[in-house]
Amino acid sequence: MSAADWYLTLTGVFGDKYGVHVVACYVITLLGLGLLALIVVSANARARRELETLDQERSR
Amino acid sequence: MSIWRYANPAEFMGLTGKLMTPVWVLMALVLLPGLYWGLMLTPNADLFGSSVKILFVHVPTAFIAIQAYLVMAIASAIGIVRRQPVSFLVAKAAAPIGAVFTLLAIATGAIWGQPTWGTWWVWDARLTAILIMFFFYLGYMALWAAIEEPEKAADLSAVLCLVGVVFAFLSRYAVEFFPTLHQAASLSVESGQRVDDVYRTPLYICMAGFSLLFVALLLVRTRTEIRLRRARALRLRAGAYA
Amino acid sequence: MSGLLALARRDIALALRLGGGGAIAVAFFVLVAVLVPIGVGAEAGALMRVAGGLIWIAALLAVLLSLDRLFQADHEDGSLDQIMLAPLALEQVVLAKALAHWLTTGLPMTLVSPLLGLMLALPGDVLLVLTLSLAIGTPALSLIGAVGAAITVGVRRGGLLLSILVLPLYVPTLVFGARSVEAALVALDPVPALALGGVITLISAALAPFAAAAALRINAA
Repeated sequence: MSAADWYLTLTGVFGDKYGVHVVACYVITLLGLGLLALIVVSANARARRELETLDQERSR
Repeated sequence: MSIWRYANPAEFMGLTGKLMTPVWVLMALVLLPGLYWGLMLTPNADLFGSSVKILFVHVPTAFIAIQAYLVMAIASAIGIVRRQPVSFLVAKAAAPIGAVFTLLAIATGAIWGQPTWGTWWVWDARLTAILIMFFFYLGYMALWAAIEEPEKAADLSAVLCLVGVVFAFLSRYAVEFFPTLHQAASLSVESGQRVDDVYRTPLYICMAGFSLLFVALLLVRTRTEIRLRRARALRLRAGAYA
Repeated sequence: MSGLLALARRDIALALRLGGGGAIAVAFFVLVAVLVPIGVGAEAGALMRVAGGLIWIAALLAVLLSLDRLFQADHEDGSLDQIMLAPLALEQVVLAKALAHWLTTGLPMTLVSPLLGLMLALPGDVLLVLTLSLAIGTPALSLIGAVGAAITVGVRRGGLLLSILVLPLYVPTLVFGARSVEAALVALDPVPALALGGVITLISAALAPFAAAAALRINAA
């Protein structure tokens, strides 16, 4: 479907003209928080790996 | 032993390590059904049509944006009073999460406001205060990044946060001066309007779900900060910065 | 008290001697205000409406630019350490420096403001309110600025960071100052806004010395 078709489909999805806005809000929120979670969790994993490496070097 | 034992980094890591999975699972169990309920199972409103469903993401994100700020302030105060590094790190961890929630609250508010009230933004009390709070988050994070010694950065950021809390309160009530002279229409749904019961329960569920998400992210981020600090200490001891 | 005044006098003398640190702030203030009709257009009605807020914003920016004078210079040449060793309480030091700062920036700007108000088409009775609002609010700018300056004193090239930290804190003062002028413009009572501006200043005077002193101690450690 073209972009215009998508827009029209989403607009009517809840039966009135606000559909696109509702979907946009949910998508933005979930994507935004998902991205944040991804960054936070991967930064944590990286920090843990780095700490393990340093601990190993120390005990060597 | 009191709750203060968790101010010890090792104890904190131990406790939160055990809590992580339960918190994530609980969050998913609460938030996902809540969002589905709000999005799919509630009726369209009389006045705003289906846009009322934005309530279920906008109100929780705004609520948490402010809660994160309070968490920062309380953690900063505890850190200063009890000289506990972990408290400072909790505050540091809360800032980027709070900033993202604030941004999302502003974005969803604007997308909601545009079709329903015809404008993306208005300078009423609440919106202006939220925007200033966002810049405050940025300033706080910038300060942490600008100072090299961790202890100094922690203490100075705590001072900034506490001063900011005072002025946040003052701003909040100062900015309410706008309507008395401008007759700006109040756009905040949370304040003026009664939320119908059919929306209230899913709203509370979503708020609980987002709160759990905030807690989960906060715990992970704090654990990261603790690890980074320990890594830095180890590197210093090994003479990396000699 | 005498120690406090002596320190204030020293700071004022330094500000005046070093090529008018305060004069530059006032010049900047005037310059920004002059830019307003150039940018906004010279139509009196439009100018009048924005004059209060824009003059206040000009004041904020001018004060921001001069904040590094508070502690930075002394920090760089080591005299801040000397001052901290003196028998004067650090909170009093902060108060003295903020006072000196206001006397060399806020006060001159306040005195010049009626002229600027005239340039921006403000009617006569509103000019008085403008001047009063600045007189009441600019001390808060110096005091709150002192907190920001104390926090960032150790940061190299911390000027921009200082601005980011301090501007959100300036918002209440800005709101009450600008709103009082606006109220006078539409023949409403400006006294509530002026009074609340005064409250902000008093709260700043009570809190800023402690916060700034704490920050200075942390930075000196």
